[in-house]
Amino acid sequence: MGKAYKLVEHTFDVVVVGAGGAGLRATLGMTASGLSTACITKVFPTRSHTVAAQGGMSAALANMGEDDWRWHMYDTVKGSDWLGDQDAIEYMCREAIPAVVELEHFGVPFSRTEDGRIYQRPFGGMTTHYGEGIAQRTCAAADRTGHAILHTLYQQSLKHNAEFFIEYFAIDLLMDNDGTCKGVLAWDLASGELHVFRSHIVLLATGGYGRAYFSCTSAHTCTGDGNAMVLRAGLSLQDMEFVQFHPTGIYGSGCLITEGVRGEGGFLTNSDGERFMERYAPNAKDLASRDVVSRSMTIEINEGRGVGDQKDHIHLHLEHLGADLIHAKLPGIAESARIFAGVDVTREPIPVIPTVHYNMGGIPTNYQGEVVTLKGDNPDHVIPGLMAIGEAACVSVHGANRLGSNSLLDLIVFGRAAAMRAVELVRPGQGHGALRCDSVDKALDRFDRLRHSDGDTPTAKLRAEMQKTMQNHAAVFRTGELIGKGLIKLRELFSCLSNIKVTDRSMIWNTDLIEAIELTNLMPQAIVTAQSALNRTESRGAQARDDFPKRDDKNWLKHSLASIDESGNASILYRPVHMYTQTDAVEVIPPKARVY
Amino acid sequence: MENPNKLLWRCRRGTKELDMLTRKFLDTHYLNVDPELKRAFESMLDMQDTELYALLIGNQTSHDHNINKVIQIIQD
Repeated sequence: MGKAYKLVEHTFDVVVVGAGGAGLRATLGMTASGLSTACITKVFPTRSHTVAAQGGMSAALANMGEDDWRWHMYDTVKGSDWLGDQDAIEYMCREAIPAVVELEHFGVPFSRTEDGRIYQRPFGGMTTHYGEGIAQRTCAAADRTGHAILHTLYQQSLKHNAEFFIEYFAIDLLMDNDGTCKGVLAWDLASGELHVFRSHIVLLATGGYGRAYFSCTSAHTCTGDGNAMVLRAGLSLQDMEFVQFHPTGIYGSGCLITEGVRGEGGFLTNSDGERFMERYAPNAKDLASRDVVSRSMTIEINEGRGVGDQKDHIHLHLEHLGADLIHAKLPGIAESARIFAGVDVTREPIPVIPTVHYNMGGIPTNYQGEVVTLKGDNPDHVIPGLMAIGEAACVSVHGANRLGSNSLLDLIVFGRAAAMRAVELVRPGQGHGALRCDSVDKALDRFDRLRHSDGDTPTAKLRAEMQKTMQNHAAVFRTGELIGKGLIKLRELFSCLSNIKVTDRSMIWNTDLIEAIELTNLMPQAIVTAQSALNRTESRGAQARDDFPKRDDKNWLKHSLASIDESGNASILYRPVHMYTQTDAVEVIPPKARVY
Repeated sequence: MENPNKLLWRCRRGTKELDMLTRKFLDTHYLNVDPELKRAFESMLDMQDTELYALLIGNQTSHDHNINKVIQIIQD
């Protein structure tokens, strides 16, 4: 089958898949250190979803008052509900400081204080003195931090001669017979050619998979292609049950209304007009952490106090703030609400619903970005030649719940760490040897079968059913019975993948086929997410099981490792949480109740 | 006229808001508008997401009146 396609071959020291914040930071670090580096990306680098990160990036610079990276570490461990690996969290919070300073030197235009230092703002969950005070720790470049970082890193990478392969879609990893990653097969969407990229390291920086759900804040491009490639290679994904919901996605479209709205005094009400957050979080109220607010909203809706004809959403009020404050402090919110909800925020509330926002789970790695798995009794076995960073990875620094402004930090710190590790592992120009495996043929065969798939289920229909099933069975409200029913449905949908209808057989700009491939990527991630959620019989961070409402450290202070077979059956193993630190500079933070 | 599937792919933006607004124009208006508006839309797809966001959601206007017409169609 493979013989029918002409393959263009390349060799590089390293290949990075994905050009968001993490992929670009790694690309820059690798190419600047003399490794020949290719970066493959399905969309133009500055159109990666990192663009949407407006809030900023946390680092204990102490520019606005006292701060300490150990306090940042405490906040992150607590935010993770103790599922985060403490060695990795220590590394991230400590290295945040040089990582931000480097970004500044690369040219990211951070907002400044009057005396010229990087300005830092407060953000939910970020404290001083281990929870006592409010930290000002988040660095931002106005309201376009993500874009500024992408733009700067892309320019810097070009300056150091990284080679970009833009609008190339990565199809599958090339794993050799002894389990080493040897490269990746990709499809040039513009020319229609297929390319074999050989490299000593493939670094996956492919982002999250928000589109597995019906209501998500993520861009259409977020289909978790790297996660799916890892599953197809027979490897596991970690902690996939932990999906962060943003409390205020616009009902219907999922477009995000920023937390800043509640920071400026916006509040939520139910169908009785009651400010119900006062009941659930008497101190933080509407500013409680994302999982707490999302869960409270869901309870209100489930108990019949939702608003609207279907009583299936909640109101977010800004009317009392007045037009002047709204326009001065919350630029773009009035327009977003008008365009995506048809609402004038100075006169009426915005209809909102908890919406999928971030995937804490992903490809398990160590703090240097190397992909790890459980092998025999070694929970930290490194897969040679394969690395992962960013939202695609699960280091794990976010554990069961991510704090705002820790995601941009994760991208930059671990992009940088992966580049440093690659420089240790690879000698520039090292030979590649023959590829001893059938993985090129297998990947081509899968591609070709999908391209000629002539079933009777349109991609869009199957995708919508998967998204609805995930939304109804594996979202904020979870019980064993509900998730179990969802899994039966998901496995039916999985079997429909072989019956998909692809109408366009061409190789050039075949968006019909791209969407079919993306669906084959999303579906197994949906199943391992639901299976992991069913399996974990406790509530922790973003996983709130109504039938197991308490955190259970005795049985569940461990990472889930989910894999899936070719028929769509998932199975689960475990890795221990790293309850140790890297240095003597900080002690392990022992589990306690997570109260805000 | 550009390959419609290429334009469809270029409507893949960094944010969901821009995905939705660019797709709305491509799916419901693009085939019916004059060639100069088609070209204006194509040039918008080459912009940075921040520029496009400012035009489509941030109430900014372009110096190109054809682009402004496309924005008006999208916002209506």
